[in-house]
Amino acid sequence: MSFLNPLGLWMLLGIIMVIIIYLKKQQEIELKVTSIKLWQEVLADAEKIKISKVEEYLLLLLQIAIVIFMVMALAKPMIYGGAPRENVTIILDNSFSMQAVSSGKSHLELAKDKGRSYISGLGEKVVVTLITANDEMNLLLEGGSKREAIQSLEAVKPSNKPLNLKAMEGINPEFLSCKIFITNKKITDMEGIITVGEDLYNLGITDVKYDYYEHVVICSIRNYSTTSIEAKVSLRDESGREYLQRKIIKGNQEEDLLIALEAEPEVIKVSLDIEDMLQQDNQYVLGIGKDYKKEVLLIGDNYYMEKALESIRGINWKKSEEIEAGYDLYIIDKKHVYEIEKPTWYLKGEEILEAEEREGTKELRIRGYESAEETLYIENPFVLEEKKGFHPVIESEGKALAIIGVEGNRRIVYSSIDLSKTNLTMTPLFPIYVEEMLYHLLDESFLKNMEPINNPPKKFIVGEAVSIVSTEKSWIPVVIQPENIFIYLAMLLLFIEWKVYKNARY
Amino acid sequence: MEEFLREIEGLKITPKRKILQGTKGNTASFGLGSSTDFFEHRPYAPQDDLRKLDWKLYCRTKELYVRQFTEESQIHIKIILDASLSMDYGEHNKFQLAKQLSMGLGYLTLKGLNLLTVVKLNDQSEIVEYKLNNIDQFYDFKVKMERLHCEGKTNYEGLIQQEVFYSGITFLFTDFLSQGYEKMLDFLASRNEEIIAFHILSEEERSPKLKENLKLIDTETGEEQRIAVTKDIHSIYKEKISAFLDETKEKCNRRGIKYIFSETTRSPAEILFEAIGGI
Repeated sequence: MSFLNPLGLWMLLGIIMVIIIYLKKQQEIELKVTSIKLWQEVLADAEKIKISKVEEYLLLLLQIAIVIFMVMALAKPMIYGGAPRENVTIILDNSFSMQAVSSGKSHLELAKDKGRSYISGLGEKVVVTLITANDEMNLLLEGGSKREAIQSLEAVKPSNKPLNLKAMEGINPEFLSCKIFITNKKITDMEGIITVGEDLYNLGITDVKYDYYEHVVICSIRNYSTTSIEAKVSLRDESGREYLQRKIIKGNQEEDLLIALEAEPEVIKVSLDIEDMLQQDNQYVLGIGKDYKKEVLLIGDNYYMEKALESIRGINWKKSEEIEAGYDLYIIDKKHVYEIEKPTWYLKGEEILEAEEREGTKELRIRGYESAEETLYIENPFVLEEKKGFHPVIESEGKALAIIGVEGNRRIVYSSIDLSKTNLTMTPLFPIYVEEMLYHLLDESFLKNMEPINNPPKKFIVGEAVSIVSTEKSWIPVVIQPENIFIYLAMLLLFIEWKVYKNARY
Repeated sequence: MEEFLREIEGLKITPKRKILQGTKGNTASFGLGSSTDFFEHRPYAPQDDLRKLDWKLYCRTKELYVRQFTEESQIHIKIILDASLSMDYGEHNKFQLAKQLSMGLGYLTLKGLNLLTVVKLNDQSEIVEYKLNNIDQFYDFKVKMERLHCEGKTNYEGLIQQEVFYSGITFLFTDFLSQGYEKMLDFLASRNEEIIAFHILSEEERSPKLKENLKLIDTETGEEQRIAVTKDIHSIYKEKISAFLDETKEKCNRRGIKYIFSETTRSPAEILFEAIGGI
């Protein structure tokens, strides 16, 4: 057993105080009375109800026990199992939510305090490995001394990323065999957790989206506490127009607030007006205008595709005969295959991949839109051969006419549909189909990466706790932190002591 | 003190029954005399003072009648002041209260042209003042009273030797904590004294706030007793002191003595109003 706050043990001197007070109470105090006879009569009557000396000792013992329990609660003991080890790994959560402030200190600072106390309590020969945990695990110190570990610990800065428990898989299992993980999150299925900070009282913006067609901002707010809180949301655009919205959000729930705007703004800033523990997730900036939209380059002539791209409001697009750099997505209506590292949509897939022409008018089926009222057809389609890692998006008679997949690190769509030979282009489905393909190819966001703005993450914790199987099961660094148990015991004894005292003494 | 005297200015010591003996004074006695208070007519008898014949009545009735007037006597007021060590007790001192009340009564006595005698009671009884009868003597009386202090034990039986007690009013200031006070009460009652007893106790005696292991020392006898004060002991003490008060009151009432419980926290004027205000 070691103590996170060994200085608290000095409070054991309080036992001496209790004994001194007890002995002092045993001392007789001289008191002059006007009639000793009256007191002698009282004593004679009280003879039958003699106070047992046991009660006196019981009171003393109870008081000593109360002091011991309070000292233990203050010293914050950690009880280990097995024999002490020579290598210890400290994983320090420095994810976004560790910036939350309770009792005047950020949870990261509290975690550092705990880490520092823990390291100080280790034996001199113990070597320490320090890892910070956010969306990835960073090895800060491997097998360092206690002094180095404390220095490295002090230098840890909070990150704006969520905690990704799955990233633990990347840590050398040897490090994980005897670790402690200091975090402010309630993680139950992992050993060696030291929890810091109070439960979060926090409202946070988890996501903000903009509907280009309806001019509506969808603001997702999460209540991280257990009680209902009223969210007061204000939205301001670049021209200073301000919109206000209120909504009560139940504990541990996430709700969307819809705010209708008068016109399409260039950029919006959403703010939550609340004094909560984590201020960093009370603001969210979203670029909406031209400068923030992703760029799409259409290479070649395709009337139908141009019309469809014109109708999509969330992107900037340009037509060109040749490839140009600096675009987020390329739609190529040529036989040529370019060396590009960006997502690409080949409209003449039949000339790139192996394909077979089917004669006649064939029915067309778009996956996800099977229930569409209109019957879609195509004349003399080219069916594409199956390609590994790709799956069909449009089919005809069970054969793929458009496939989507990942090649290298980029998303690619191969399509063999001649848009002049199908009635798809004449239906409202076509621009929707094109928008969905673009949305998918552009990693489900038409907006450019807003990372430098440091918007809050969608979640504080992602992935599931990895079940780390210790190579040596005989030693678990932290089994329990029984400080709360000691507090409850002290309170119980205090109650019993009061009862005994009231019973025995005036 | 001046304020206290001003408060009790309106009080007058009046006996409940007529006085048997005494020189001329301001208080109605059993006899007939030469006061201005008309009592009755009686038929003339030879050798009656002719100045007392009621000639107006003779004109109406043609009979001779003599007018009779009540006699007014001085009351002899005695103050018995317990000056034993048990009276020197309490944050609000018992003896100080007793002295203050005595001085108040002394003032009223001398103002009412009555006689005042003060007897100090401890191991022996000692007459401190004897038959003062003039308000001019009040200052000397006050100084003497202020110089009194407590000493020794209470010997109630010592009073029986005193010859001053006959037909008058006796004010007794004591805590009744010593043995033998019943004999004293019997003696006073047998001397045709109208007795008003002030039972003086301090707040600390009535409900002591004690918490520790104590060595009790009797202020009068020096006797010692060790005691660990518990909740039970405290409640038994309270019962005892309450029974003692009831018993003392009952013993006084049985002898026709007016009993006034005077805790030291009470105002002296209020105590005197209770004692003589309604007589």
